[in-house]
Amino acid sequence: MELILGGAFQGKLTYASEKYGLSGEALCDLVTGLPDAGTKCVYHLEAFTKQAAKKGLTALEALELLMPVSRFCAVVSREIGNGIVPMAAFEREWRELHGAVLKELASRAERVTRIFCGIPEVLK
Amino acid sequence: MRILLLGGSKSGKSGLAQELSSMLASGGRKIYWATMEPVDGEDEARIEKHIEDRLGMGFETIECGKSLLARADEAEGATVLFDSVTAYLANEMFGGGFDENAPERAAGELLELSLSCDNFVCVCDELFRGGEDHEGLTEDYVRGLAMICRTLAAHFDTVCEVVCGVPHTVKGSLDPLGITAGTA
Repeated sequence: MELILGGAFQGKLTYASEKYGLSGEALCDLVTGLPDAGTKCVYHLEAFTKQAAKKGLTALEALELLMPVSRFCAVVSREIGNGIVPMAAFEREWRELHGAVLKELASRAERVTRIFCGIPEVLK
Repeated sequence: MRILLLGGSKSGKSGLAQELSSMLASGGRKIYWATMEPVDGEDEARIEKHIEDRLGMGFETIECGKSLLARADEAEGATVLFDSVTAYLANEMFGGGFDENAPERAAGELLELSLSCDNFVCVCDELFRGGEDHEGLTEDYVRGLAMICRTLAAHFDTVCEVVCGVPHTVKGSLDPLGITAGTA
């Protein structure tokens, strides 16, 4: 599994789709649902962790819903932790959970890639 | 050579851009292309600070924050430091009532301007990794800015993220300027 990170609108999903030749049902938008047997790539992980934070799940409980992640070619996520620490408690809880989930995914990933202006950079 | 420099606020983008522009110009004409249209005393103070920083560095200044191509002929054959895409897009998008076509037009004008110069060093704020939920027009602006950055990055020779004044190169290299990673 390749963990693909980057800021908003950097071309992360385009990179994943082109690299692995994915389209249609192979791609699962976590804004609208959870992966099924045909899913090869999940994206908008930040929407998934936001929902998980709303439900008060721990990182491991949240990850359990995506297991096994080794079935995916790619997991695509926005980086959200580089701003000012937000005033709202929930915003902080979301970032904390998101960071914990990403660290766990990164440790399981064969490759971690960051997309910057459409340009991939391999971190692991 | 065309270089795109991205970084957080106060990451040392402008300082590095001045250094790179001077090296690229190597004694030739160099222009500081200023885009900020001051709206308050804080902006004026920032502009003063930048002017002070450039004193004695031999930069001519073009102050033009909108419709760049109207003044592109003045930059022909020179090394241009363009500061910044962030302010330029804000001017184009919100300067005369909201214009949703501004990002595409801005990307095109920047590419054309960059081609009429000898060297082009372009500065932009990297504001895509904060996780904020931007509302409405701000979301459109952030999306537009990212599109411009991806477009410039695809065409330019070198793309760097600036971290406390140090360039982290993600495309191309600064080797022609004698700068390798970690030595700037």
